[in-house]
Amino acid sequence: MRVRDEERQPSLQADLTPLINIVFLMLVFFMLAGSLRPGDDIQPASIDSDRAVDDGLLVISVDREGWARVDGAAVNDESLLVLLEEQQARGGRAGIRPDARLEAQRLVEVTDLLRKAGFEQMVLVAQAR
Amino acid sequence: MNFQLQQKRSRLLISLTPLIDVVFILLLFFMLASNFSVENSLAVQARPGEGTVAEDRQAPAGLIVLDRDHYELDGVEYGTRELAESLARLLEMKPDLALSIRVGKAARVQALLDVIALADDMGIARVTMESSTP
Repeated sequence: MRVRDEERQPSLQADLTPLINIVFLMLVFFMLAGSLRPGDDIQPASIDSDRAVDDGLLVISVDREGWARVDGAAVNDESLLVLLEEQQARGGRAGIRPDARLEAQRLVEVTDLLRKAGFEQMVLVAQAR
Repeated sequence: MNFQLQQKRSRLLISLTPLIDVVFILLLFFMLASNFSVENSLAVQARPGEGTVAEDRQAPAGLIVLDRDHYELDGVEYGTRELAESLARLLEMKPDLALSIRVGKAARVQALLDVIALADDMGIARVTMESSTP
């Protein structure tokens, strides 16, 4: 009986090395190829454009209820205006990333806020089609 | 001697299980949190405010009125396809056309972005938006 048990055990031990290799490769792939999603539940609208989003752009996401979000945190229009004025004073640029289900009039309101802060040019950020 | 060698070998064996556990957790995290969608941008201009003497106003302007599922260009109603054609005709007549989009209450952002992208594609540099309700 004892001899039999010893015989059985090695056949049950699967070699885990190929599995670990593949898991490591997948881990490296996801770490390098993906970017971490911002912490909001915005479904960005989509556009046919090949212009990349500039680095250093202050992106204001607007969720489907119309709340403006900067770095995932909701801000009211007054605080947003202050943030925008600071960005304008630094000579930076600003962009709006609206949810596809948002009412378009709210987007126009947010562009008006940007104008109030002194931006003459602005960009709309959306998912590439 | 033989006994000593066996002792040495058993010390060198490192258990890989905790490492694999951590790697699996990291893999799961990156698989769930990674975002592969590419985001692009479109340029628009702020509409000239009250009291601004905008030289833009001297440029011939086209007005698109956008509501739930129809577009109006300079007072004529169009579907999505015909809008591109008539905008192209208008652009032939007025190459330095500035486009203004008046957004109605029922309009959705996606429709608005489609019009802006269309104008951008046609090379209209000056696109502004305004609300139909002040």
